[in-house]
Amino acid sequence: MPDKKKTASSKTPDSRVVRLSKVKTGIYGLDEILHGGLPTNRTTLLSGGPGTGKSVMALEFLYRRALEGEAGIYVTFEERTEALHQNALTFGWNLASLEKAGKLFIYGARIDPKVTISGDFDLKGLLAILNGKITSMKASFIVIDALDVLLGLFDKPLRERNELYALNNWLIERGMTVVLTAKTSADKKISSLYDFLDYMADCVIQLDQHIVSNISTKYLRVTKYRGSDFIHNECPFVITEDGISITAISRVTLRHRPPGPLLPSGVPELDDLLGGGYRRNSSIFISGNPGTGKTILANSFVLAACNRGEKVLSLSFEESQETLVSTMLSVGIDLRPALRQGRLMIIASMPEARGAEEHLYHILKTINEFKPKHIIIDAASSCRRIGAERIAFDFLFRLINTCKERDITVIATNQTKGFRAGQEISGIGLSSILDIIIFLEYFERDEHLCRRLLVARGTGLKIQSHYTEYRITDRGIELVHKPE
Amino acid sequence: MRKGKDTSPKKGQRNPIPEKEIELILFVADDEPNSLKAKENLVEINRHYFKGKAKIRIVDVMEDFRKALENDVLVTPCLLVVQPPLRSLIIGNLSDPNQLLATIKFKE
Repeated sequence: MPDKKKTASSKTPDSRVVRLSKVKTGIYGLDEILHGGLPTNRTTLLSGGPGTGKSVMALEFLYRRALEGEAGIYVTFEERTEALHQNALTFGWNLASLEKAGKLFIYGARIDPKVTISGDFDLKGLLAILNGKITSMKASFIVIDALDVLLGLFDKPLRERNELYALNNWLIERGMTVVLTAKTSADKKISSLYDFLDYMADCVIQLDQHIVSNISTKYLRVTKYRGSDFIHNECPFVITEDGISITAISRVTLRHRPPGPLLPSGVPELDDLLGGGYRRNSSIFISGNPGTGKTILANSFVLAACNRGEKVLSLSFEESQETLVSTMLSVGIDLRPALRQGRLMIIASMPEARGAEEHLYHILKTINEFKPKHIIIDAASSCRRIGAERIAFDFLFRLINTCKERDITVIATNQTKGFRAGQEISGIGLSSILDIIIFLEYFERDEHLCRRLLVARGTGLKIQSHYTEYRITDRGIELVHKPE
Repeated sequence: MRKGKDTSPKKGQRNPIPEKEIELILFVADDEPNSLKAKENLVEINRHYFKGKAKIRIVDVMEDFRKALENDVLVTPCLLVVQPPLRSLIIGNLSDPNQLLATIKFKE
């Protein structure tokens, strides 16, 4: 086997003090997971089953670099280049213009399946082509997609490995940052090559796809990164109309900021119970049975915020914008001026309409564009319908955390089935990231069904923890003061 | 399947086709051992089967990578059959002449 060159020497533990040089992928969320990007002048393996997004991810990396003026080469032994161009166009990536500018070269290397073999051969032809292109384009990055198809010509596992190793070394010596893609497979022959790839690469990213409750979710996990730390969790990702978007679950929890200044809830008497009001940049959970007024309480806040000139994004998983507006109007909460003035944006969508990742992506995109100060999630419990419990939890967890990171107040309603609201708070498992919890419930008095609320948690607030009766009137929610 | 061993014709069953209609391009990489072997083997095949009349061009991909790119020559040595107009590639050092003979359906 050829000797490893000097370029690889910093892999040894004693030289780890040397800061590993990295290149940003530009893929949304991936650089954070990789603590900066891919290792420069090293090899990264991108592996996964068919349809997990390997090619798109690898191509997006080159595309993003090319936009920065850094040239890259994409060699595929599998996909037709026309198909690749077509795919790229659906993301709005104009590869042709980058190719024209000499910043990108896409090479669909076809191997005739009927090719005849007579005697020994090696990969010099490919090397000559790559050498020519690397030199003329001054390329720094190369993606080799489905190399196993080419290596399969050798038909001998040991030989495949040697050729792969030689090719990789050659590329590294040329100063290239290499991304290899490989299909993971139960096929023993392929998996033995895969094991070698895994060993050879300095950074290994695995893509996977699970189907839970008829909704398919793609996941990314970094399993290895020589000389660098990285986020170890499995991170769901989505292929959007702009490319790949990943939101890491674990990173966000570390960045919680303390709740901000007091914020009127929209119901003055409730502010008293809360010790002044909600807190800016906190998460508020309003939990209760159907009809207890959760949406009304949330929208009392919306109206107050919009009247102060603050932007609110309202996610309605329960009813359409029209229904929501007219229902609120019936209890004296007129959302129409806020909508007209562009302070309130309502996104009404069925939880089932998309997978969790698509929902999250669209919401985050709207947050980035609309820049709301507050977000309403009505109802968090509806998110169960996006998928399994676990998916709903991930979805809400990441949404709430993302909001906290951006100093956005979150008010989430939660519909409970039991008569007593309290027991179900842990149902969706979010308790740990909620700052304020308010229970709304029914109770019987003199054969009348009445409503009462309880502020069950108020992190950083001097709350009054006793049940308080309230009524839903045509002026919204009004608390009934008990005679002392 | 790729080796095509089972389809190779046996010696003595071939009927001659006009040798001058055979045109081949051999892609080599420098003086790499397999490339040298392929050159030798091709000369020998030409002499033995085609009476030295097949038209043979040799392209060094190290000198002209564009030719390799145009013809999808990813491995070397590699033989492209131009005439008869098959555009077939035979890869390897041509240690087995039968692959070439079967490809162009050459019969002695």
